[in-house]
Amino acid sequence: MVSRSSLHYGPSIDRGGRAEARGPLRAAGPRAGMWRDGRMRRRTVLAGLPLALAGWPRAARAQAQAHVGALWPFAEGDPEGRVLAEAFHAGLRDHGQPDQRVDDRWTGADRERARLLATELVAAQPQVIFAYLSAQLTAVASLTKQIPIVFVGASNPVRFGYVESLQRPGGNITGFTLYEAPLGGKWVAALKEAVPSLRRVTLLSNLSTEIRGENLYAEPFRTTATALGIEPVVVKIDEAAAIEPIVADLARQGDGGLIVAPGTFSEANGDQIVALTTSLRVPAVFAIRRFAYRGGLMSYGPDPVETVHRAAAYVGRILRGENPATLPVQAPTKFDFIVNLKAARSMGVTISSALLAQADEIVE
Amino acid sequence: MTVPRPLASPPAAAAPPRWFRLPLAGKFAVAFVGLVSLVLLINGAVDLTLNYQDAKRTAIETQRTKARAAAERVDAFLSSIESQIGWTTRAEWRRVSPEQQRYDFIRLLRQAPAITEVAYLDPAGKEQLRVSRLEPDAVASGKDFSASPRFTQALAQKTWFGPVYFRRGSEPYMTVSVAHAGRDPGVTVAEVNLKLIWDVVSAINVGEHGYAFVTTATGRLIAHPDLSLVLRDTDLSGLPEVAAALPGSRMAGQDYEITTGLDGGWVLAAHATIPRVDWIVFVQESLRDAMGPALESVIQTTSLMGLGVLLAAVAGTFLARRMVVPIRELEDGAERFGAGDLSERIVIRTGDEIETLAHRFNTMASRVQESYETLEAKVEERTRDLNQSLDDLQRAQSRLVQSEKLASLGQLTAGIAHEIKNPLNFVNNFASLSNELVDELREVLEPTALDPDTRAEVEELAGLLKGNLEKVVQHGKRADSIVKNMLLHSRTGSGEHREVEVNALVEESLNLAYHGARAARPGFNVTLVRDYDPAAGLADLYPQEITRVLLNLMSNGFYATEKRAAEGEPGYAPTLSVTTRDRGDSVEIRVRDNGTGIPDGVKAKMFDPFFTTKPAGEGTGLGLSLSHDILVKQHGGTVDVATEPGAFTEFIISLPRQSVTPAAPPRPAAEPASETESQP
Repeated sequence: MVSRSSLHYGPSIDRGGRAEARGPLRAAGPRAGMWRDGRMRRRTVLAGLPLALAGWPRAARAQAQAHVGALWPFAEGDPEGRVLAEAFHAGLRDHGQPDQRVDDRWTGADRERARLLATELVAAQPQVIFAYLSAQLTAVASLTKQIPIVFVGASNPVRFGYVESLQRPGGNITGFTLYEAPLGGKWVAALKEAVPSLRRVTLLSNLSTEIRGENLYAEPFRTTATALGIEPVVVKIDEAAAIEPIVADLARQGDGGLIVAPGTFSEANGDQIVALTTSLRVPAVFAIRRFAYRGGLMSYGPDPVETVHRAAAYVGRILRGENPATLPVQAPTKFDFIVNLKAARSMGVTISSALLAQADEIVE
Repeated sequence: MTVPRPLASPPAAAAPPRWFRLPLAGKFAVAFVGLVSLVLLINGAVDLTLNYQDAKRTAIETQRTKARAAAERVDAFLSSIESQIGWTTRAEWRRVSPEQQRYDFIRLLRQAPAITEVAYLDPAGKEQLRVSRLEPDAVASGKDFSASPRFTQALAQKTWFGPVYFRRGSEPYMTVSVAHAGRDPGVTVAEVNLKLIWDVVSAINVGEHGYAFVTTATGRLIAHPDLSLVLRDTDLSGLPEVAAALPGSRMAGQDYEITTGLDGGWVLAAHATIPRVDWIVFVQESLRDAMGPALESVIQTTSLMGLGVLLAAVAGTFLARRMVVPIRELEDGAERFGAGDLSERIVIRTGDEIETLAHRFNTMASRVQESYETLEAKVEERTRDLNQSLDDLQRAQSRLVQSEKLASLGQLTAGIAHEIKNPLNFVNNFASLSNELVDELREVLEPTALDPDTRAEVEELAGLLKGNLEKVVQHGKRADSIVKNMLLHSRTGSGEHREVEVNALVEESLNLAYHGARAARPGFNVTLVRDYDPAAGLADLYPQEITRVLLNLMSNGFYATEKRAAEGEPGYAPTLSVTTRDRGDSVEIRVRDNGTGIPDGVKAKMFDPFFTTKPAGEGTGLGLSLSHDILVKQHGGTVDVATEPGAFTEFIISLPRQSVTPAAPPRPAAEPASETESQP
């Protein structure tokens, strides 16, 4: 994030600013430098003292029992899961917890298994639980109100009732959202632009994105689709077998498109959807970016790796004693539009140059 | 002298203050340490004040500069957004195709991650295009913003930064609208997610633990390295430094503050405002870090001061000891000298005034010692002189006593001799006369015929008578000679003195003595040895008296040799040697015999009158006594005797050449009368 932003602002500004910020220190002359060195040395000693006195027993205790539990909606060995888990571990390392033991639990898409592993996890009494995506958060949140939970991906946690408000979660749960409701419209618009002949579109919803029977993205999805003269359909599916008829139906009707909402189900069955849509030539927009790389036509969504990395910082802060109730829930700031030209060609979809110009990343 | 002695001064009397009774070392050390400490303290205090002020000023200045730099960076963030928006605000932009406009907006979103949404308002204030990250693009929605400040303010000011608002109560956003160039312009409106200032703010380096943060003019937090504080929609207007910086605060003029920070603890906070958005950028650093140099200087100065005082104490003690040790030695030395022990010297090698002082002491001691020695020598000399004087005095006294004795004896003797001489003359004369009468008697009887027997008997009687008479005459003469000698003795000194050839005198005396002895004793034999010094020369003497002395001594010598020869010692050659020597102002005459010598008991008394060892009739016991008188009293000379019994006797006479005292001892006045009386 930092490196990217520095690209946006331009290296010259950044460096210039930094040089300015350091200028006064240098201007203070060699004497100031000398003081600073001396001070640093002394501080190192002073800082080391309490650590040496009190640090190691605590560290030993942490070794013995303190650990972080992580629930992942992937099968063990899943490449995406590995990448994200690695990002999480790296994030912990980067945020002052270099030796933190992480108990990674791989639930897959199975809700029962998720509940089981969540129970185990809570029973192990970790210091912090990290939950990736809503299903995992749901599985854990109901089990404990004491162990701090940091989540990534639970869209609109206020409405889900996990937090009181975004700025002051107020309980043991805080984290980072990945998607926002208006994206429902964004996906439709993107699909319409890629396939101007689009007349009907189906939003593939699943349980984890539903709140009280209503899909989070349905409202903006319907609004935008209607505005664009497209017939919107929201389909809630719960098992992989149900995908095929929907895609096939779309293909049969013609001029149809598919929008794959985020969620545990989509994570688990994305590859299958990609295969179906490709073979049946149904243009699809994925909320999860990796499926654009795996053969999906397009994706528009945040980079979860970056978000997981930032969530690790929250875990680190909670481990250092901060209260999750006061750590605000953070929303994503950046969404990437990825277009897979190869998939487009194989589907016979011609991507306009205007759309290509919008793309942040292009897969060829 | 410097060692405190409790008894040294009575406490009641105006005792000096305690300070003055400190030993010298103490005083010196206290003075030295006190002085150095005072200088160090003053120096330290001045240094401390200056350094502290300097460091504080530097710290505040640094902080202020940091605040300005931070404000500039935040401002640069806004400027960059403004300039990014800038290239959609060209005068001809509204004439480009909507597709191109949309594409420009998408590109803008990609270039500026902080912009979440961008819209184009046409010159009438209607929304013509809106591109958002979250929502579908809206083309020609026609929403009317003509009365909204984002439109009116942008037209009025070219660029308008709207107030900060919080989306969903959490994320800080701001509307930035930039009016297009040219006449009758449209406006590009961008919604900026201020979360992204985080990159800028967290990159601002404020010391080690310091940081920068940004608030609105009402004190709401916009940017902070801890993003969660921003998302919590924190109102910092309660924070002292923020409160002080807010417009209308009483501290508005001051751009720094020392106060307690968010997390407690003292901080040094400085701020700078970004006028076009009315934001306030704060930089704050914990006071300890900011004032680190000042604290360091305090610690340094204090420790230097401590070190200085310590060094001063050590050096003072050392110097004091170095100074006092020689002084103690000096004191000991002086005490030693005072006690009279001058043998040792004070050894001090300090090369300073104390050494000089020690040298002075040593010199003094040497002088005193020298004086002592001179004094002793003088006392010895005087004592010797005194002893000499005493000896002289005693000798003179004894001589005087002897003289007095002799004088009185002389007078007595003269009287007695005179009285004896008259009857003696009668005896002698009448005995001689009787002798002649006996002869006349025999002549008378010659012609007469007498029977032979009678004749024989008469003859025998006459012979006997004559014999007796002769004995009377003989002994009478002897008595006469004794008396004469006695008179001589008492008279002492006869005739007149004159210059005499000493050798001649001695030779004459020797001959006289020898022949006298030969005449008296026909078998007498002795070897005479003469050893005359031709330089003996003349001496003013009474020749008769000296001759008498010499005759006396020589006849004594002859007598001694004769006596020894009589002992029948085989191979004994009686010898008498006479020697004269010139002794300058005096003449020495030695008479030596190898006779029997004089025993010690005799030697003491031999000059006494009437003391003699000879058998009765042979000596009067007045010879030596007389000789002594003549030599010592009459001539002022000396007579000494050296003797060894059975070996030799040597008389050594020393006569001054001009010795004759004008006042010769008075001769007995009675003599002439007696002479006349004795000759009836």
